[in-house]
Amino acid sequence: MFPDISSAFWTKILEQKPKANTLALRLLTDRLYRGIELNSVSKEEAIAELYSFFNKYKSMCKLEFEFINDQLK
Amino acid sequence: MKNKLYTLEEAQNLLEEGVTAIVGAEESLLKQLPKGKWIGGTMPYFMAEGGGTVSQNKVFLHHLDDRFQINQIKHYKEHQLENIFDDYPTWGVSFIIIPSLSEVAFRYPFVANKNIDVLKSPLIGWLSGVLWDHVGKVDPKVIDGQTCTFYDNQALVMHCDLPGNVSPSLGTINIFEPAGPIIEFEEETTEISEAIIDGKKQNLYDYIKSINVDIQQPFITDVSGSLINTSIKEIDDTNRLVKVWTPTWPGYKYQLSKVVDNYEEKFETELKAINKEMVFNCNCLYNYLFGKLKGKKIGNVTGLITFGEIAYLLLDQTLVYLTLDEEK
Repeated sequence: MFPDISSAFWTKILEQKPKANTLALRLLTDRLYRGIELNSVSKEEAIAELYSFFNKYKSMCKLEFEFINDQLK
Repeated sequence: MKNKLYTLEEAQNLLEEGVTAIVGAEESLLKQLPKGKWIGGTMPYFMAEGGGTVSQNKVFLHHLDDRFQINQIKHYKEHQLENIFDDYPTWGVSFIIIPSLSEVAFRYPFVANKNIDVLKSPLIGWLSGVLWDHVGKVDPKVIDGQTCTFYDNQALVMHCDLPGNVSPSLGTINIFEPAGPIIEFEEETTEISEAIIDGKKQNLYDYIKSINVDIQQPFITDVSGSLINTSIKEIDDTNRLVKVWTPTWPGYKYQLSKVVDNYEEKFETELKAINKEMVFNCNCLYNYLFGKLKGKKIGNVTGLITFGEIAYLLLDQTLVYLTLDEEK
């Protein structure tokens, strides 16, 4: 349903920091962005977290995926 | 079954019948409830069917329907709070109640803020409380309905499983809008001496006094689009400190909130945009008190009025809610 973990989609999220709609994803992305800035989270770990979150909450993330994908260039 | 205030007898009967519920009531009433599939906390403030109210002789039941199956009810001491996230159900929701003004309530936001695992599964709940006039005289408590045991310094969590086709989602309604200078904090703390205001480090107490801020106006930061409040507990004239209910976060840009004078209208507007049934919700006592919500309704929402709201993190002056999406 969502791009493979090796897809550039996940890297672009970390680089472009698109908006999210749900509280959970907003809090998660904020933690990951800040973790990367502080070197407490690697990009690979952040991608794994995002990939895992999207695939666990597939139903909720269908709309998030469309919303985020539209923002990524 | 409606989420509403029931007489003691009605609540006793419903819980006796095996209803799964989140319960709020005065301690003397909670003591009279039968063992069952519920957790509760002391609380006399409610958003009832007729509007905001104080009740010391009725019991609020937030009914959880058959889709919620209790996985486990567990209590956690201060040093065990991180275990809450390890105990999350594989697929479900966890409901948490913490006695406000306790050490565990003080500690929870620090633990949740530093631990990304808090976000692994929905965690929603509240801080129990007492009549505002009784703060400092009577301890807020939580109660495990399976054993009818009270705790005054432990977090109580009911971890629930959900069917695979039911997707839980947490949301918040924050009616406050940030305005004015950017305020940054250097420490994660609830007692603030200095802050960086528009780039200049200064005493926050002096600044707050100079602009006549009221404790009704929280500090607000934008977390990837969600506005998170930090409410002012006290402007301490003796120690020239600003005390807040939840810790400030270093690295975030805050602003003070604009003054809000039409709470009902703002809540109604936000509620209309949600367009989903709230399975569970609670709203902040500050909103009830400062918004003068006694006797006033906000949409068709009924729920607990609480001393702190939890949607993963401990929040202030916020309505938190749970919705479910079911794939047929």
